[in-house]
Amino acid sequence: MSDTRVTALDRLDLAASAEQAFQMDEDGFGAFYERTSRPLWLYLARISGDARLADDLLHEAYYRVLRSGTAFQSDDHRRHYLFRVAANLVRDTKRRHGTQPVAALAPDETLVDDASERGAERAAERLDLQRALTQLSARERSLLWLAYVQGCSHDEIAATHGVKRASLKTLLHRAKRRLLDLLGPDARARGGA
Amino acid sequence: MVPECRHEFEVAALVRAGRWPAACEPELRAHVEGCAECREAVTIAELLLEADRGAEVHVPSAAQMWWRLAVRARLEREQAAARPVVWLQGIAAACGAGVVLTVLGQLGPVLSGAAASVAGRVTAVVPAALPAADLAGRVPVLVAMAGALVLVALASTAVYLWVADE
Repeated sequence: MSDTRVTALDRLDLAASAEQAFQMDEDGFGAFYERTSRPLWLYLARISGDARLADDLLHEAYYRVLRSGTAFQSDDHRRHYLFRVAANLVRDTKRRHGTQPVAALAPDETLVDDASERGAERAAERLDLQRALTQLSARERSLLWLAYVQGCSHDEIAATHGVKRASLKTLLHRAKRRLLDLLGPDARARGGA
Repeated sequence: MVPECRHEFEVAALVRAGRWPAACEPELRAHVEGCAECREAVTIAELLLEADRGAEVHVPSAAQMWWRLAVRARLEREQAAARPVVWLQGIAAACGAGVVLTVLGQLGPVLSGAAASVAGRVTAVVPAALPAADLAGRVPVLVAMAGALVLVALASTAVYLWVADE
């Protein structure tokens, strides 16, 4: 039977070789990961519609960023690059496995129990939103998330999706309108609260 | 023409920062009330952010993720290091085969004579065996194949031992 114990020396050796391969140390990665892992996972889960796939792609996205060899000018630059890699990964995965109907994330994965009346109302809103999001294409979901949740600029989103800035504005506008139409008049009435 | 408002992203940023509407400038709030694009931006941002805030996310810890990525990087590095060895073995095998064929080409007439002599003796001992002409034709081929196999095996072993020492 083979010995699978990992000694302290193995760990040190692995850490040294990782830092050499990644050009980033563990502490730097830890700080970056803490800031980005949750929003990135949510982004992946929202646009792929598959929580398990999001787990796999999360790992892949960080690996590609660490191995990219790109000289990042700032943490923001690295973060945008990460989301760009993630968007490409989802697109490639969808292309490889064909276009499948997007399933909504299971409620227990996206909703936190809240017994209050407002909590129930919010839960219902989230379910409505989930249903509406499943009607949008992966690209539309991605555009909306990058623009309104991640706060990416038009240029950054255009680069992520490989479209011109002018086309992006049209696509984003259509995605926004489509989502609001799917959510119905109640959603429109919320604005400007 | 797509309707556009330069305040749209500014308003969405305020929503993201949790500063809408309480900590927003009165002028901007007044603008949003009269601007359909900004109102829609507020609605979308609020809905998406609220959905994200309420989501339960289970991602591995930073240490776990670092460990997995480090292991993967090492495995890939090892695979990349092993790739030239496979190539070297292939090249060695091809060289070995080339040498064998060249040698056999040079020794062809000699081998044919020897094979004919061997075949003649075999048919004298075993009359029911294959005709002498058949054997004479096949022996060089068999000898060539055996030689090639031996050379390929020797070349591969030599390359393996050479690389394994390093």
